Amino acid sequence: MKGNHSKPIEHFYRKSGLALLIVAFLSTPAFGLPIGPYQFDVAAKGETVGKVSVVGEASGNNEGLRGSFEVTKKKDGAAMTVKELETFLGQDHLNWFQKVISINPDILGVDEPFIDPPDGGFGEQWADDRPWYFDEFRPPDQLPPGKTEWDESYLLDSNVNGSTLGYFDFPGGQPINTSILFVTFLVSDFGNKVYDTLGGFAWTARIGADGFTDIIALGGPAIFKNEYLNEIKDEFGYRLVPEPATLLLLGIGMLGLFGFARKWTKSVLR
Amino acid sequence: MRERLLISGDRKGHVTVKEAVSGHVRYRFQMETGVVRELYLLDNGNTLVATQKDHTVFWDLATGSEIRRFDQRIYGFSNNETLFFTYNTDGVFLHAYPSMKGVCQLCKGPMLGPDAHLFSPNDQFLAILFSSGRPSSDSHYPRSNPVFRGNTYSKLFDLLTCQEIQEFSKLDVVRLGEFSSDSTAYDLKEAEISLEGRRLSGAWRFDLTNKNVTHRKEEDK
Repeated sequence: MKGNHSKPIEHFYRKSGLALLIVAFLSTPAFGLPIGPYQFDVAAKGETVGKVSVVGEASGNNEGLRGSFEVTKKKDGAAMTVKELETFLGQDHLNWFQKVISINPDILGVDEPFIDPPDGGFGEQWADDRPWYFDEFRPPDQLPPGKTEWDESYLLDSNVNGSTLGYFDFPGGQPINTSILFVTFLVSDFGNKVYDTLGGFAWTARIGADGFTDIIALGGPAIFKNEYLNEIKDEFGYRLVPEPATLLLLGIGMLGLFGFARKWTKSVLR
Repeated sequence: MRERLLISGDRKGHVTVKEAVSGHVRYRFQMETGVVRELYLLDNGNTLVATQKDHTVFWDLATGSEIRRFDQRIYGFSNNETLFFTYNTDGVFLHAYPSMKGVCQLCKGPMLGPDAHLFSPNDQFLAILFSSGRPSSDSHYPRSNPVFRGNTYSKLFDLLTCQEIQEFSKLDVVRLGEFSSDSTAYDLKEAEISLEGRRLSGAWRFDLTNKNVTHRKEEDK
């Protein structure tokens, strides 16, 4: 399954200056207006099954990003619910995967890049022990020591409504002039710690001189890099579902190995 | 005529009361070391209230003596000074003033912390904007604690029934609005709301009597 992006833009995220270059490639907001929307179709089983759309939104003083994956695949003339689509695709559930790629300038004590939220949560915020953005289970009744923040809205189930899987992020509180580069992907979790990605987007939040957050860049498609795959595997034990081409190559390899072994055995027996 | 006073708090727990015209320091109160968060004047300006992250202190401005200590931060008093609210990870709580007795729990935690709030003119309704990273630690105040996964939402409470107005919460409004002067409506001048499965932008009026939201035309604003 792959995302079918409407605005293909090549991008590479490295802290060594390229992050700034990326910002230039991504769309930037007109003065005083929220950024976006950025949209792309999501394809699976050879057809478009939904659409991801994200847009900047202003809260009290901060800006954040809000969006959704909307199912467009129809059943009996109406859009399938997210649950129905998950059944149709033979997967367990959808969620988002988000990563903080770079923070400029560095913040003491914050080592980036990191999966957002990290296992157990960042700072005083609690998060579950899965690699995905929304928590898939609740915290214990008593939050663990050092954790003071959790909210029902961080729960995956709170963000699934009919044909929609919601998304939001309102980051903030970092020092003035800090820029934070994020990538966010829609992921399909098949259960048994196997997943696939369905396309993603990149965006940049900047803390302005007033201390409030501005979303200054949004675009894509974001490329799901090998390092993300390795981090998810190393930190959480989740594996990317093998691509059909990979399975084919593996099959051919196995057949070749089998053939060679058979030939070798025959020659030894003679 | 009552003399005008300038009252300030700092990050070291000092609360200073100055005479506005002369600049003469009338009182300098010392709270615990740490940021003074809110300052309130109650009882016709006779009582000064200052909060820190986990407690609140009351002083009599006539004598300069401490008259009360409350072991929670008070986030806001109603206009008529008969109610105030507190927050902790268990939720938001309404209390009576001056008895300080608990009135009710407005909503149950764990949840995001209060970022800003507004009482309706008649004190029947309370609007609170909740945000990630709030309440912030002294080291980050007045900014929020840093968050990378963050959220923000507002809720309206009916203080007569001690109920969250669910019809408003479903709109998923991420900023504070304004109450009409007769406290019958809550207006959002420029805001996004969730309605019938869509995110819509515009000016909105939430009717506090029938709990309906309507789009406000230009001439209504």
